[in-house]
Amino acid sequence: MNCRDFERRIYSYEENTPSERKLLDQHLDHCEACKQLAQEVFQWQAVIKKEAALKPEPGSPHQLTQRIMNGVMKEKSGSIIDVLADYLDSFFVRFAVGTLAILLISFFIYEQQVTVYSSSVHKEPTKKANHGPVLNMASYMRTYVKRIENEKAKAHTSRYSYYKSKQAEKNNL
Amino acid sequence: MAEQEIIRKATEGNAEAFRLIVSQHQPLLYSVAYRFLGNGQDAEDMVQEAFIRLWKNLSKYRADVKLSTWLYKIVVNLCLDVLKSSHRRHQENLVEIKEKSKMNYSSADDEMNIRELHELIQEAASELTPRQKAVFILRDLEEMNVEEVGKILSMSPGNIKSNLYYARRQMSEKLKQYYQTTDKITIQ
Ligand SMILES: [Zn+2]
Repeated sequence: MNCRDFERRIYSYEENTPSERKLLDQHLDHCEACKQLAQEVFQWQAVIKKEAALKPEPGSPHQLTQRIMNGVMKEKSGSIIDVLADYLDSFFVRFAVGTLAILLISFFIYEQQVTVYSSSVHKEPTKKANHGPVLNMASYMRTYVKRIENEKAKAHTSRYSYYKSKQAEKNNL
Repeated sequence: MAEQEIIRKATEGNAEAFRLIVSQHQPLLYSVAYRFLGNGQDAEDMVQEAFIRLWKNLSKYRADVKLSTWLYKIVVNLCLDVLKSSHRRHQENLVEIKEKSKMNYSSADDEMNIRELHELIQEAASELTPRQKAVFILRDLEEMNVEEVGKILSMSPGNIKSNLYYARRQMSEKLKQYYQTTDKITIQ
């Protein structure tokens, strides 16, 4: 080990293991440069210990405690809403809300279907198909056929009455 | 009441139990936060934030870690975040120290020398990297053992020693420079 290796150990004198310290002490007995550095470093460490002995304190420990507790209580009162928000945000609730939505939509569609069926049962049958000018052929034809039949019947009746009148003329002769 | 009992009650939402935790640990946290940030107002804000985080996470606390270690970890991480993000000028802090710090000086004649030393150390420490500063504050100013510093900073003993070496060397150099150029402070 050279002086450079010992330099590190001088700065961390207290942190050295007993064996490391023993080796360093042996070196300091023989090396003037390291001995001088060690004296300097120990002097500055003593100065730093003076600073360490002065503990910074809050202006008013009681007020600080109160301030901290006020902050904590604010968190506590907010936490009920937080807990609720966290709960609503949970996977379980998301899943449940999703399922409920699907159920409602399904029920709505089912309701619509039932209304359509029930209206065809209870209400007047709609004749939408017969009201259009194109699709009322059957109904138009029915009246047309009726009229033709009526005319045929009339014609028959008139032919029959003509025949009867002719028969009556022949009998009278 | 034993600490575990107080913690258990606080975990159940008992505010009075939590107040006991606050009043017991607040001075230690304030001291650390003050040494990191260099002014009383920021230190108080940081201590409050640390306790709010403790309150929110108390249910995660496991008894195998000391509560004080856990609290130190919270406050040190908060302070490191501030140091890493703000890159604040140390001169700004020094003005604040004069106005807001309250140090327990043993006598009035000590006050001037010690205040000067305090400002010098604050200034020199502000030039350390956040990690070096954290190790220096916890080990040399708060005088914690290496094991506890390791737990708070999640660092190995070797890593702590390495950071201590650079921090102490820089602090020594700054102090040396200062004492060589002035003869204001005498060190007994
Ligand atoms: Zn040497």
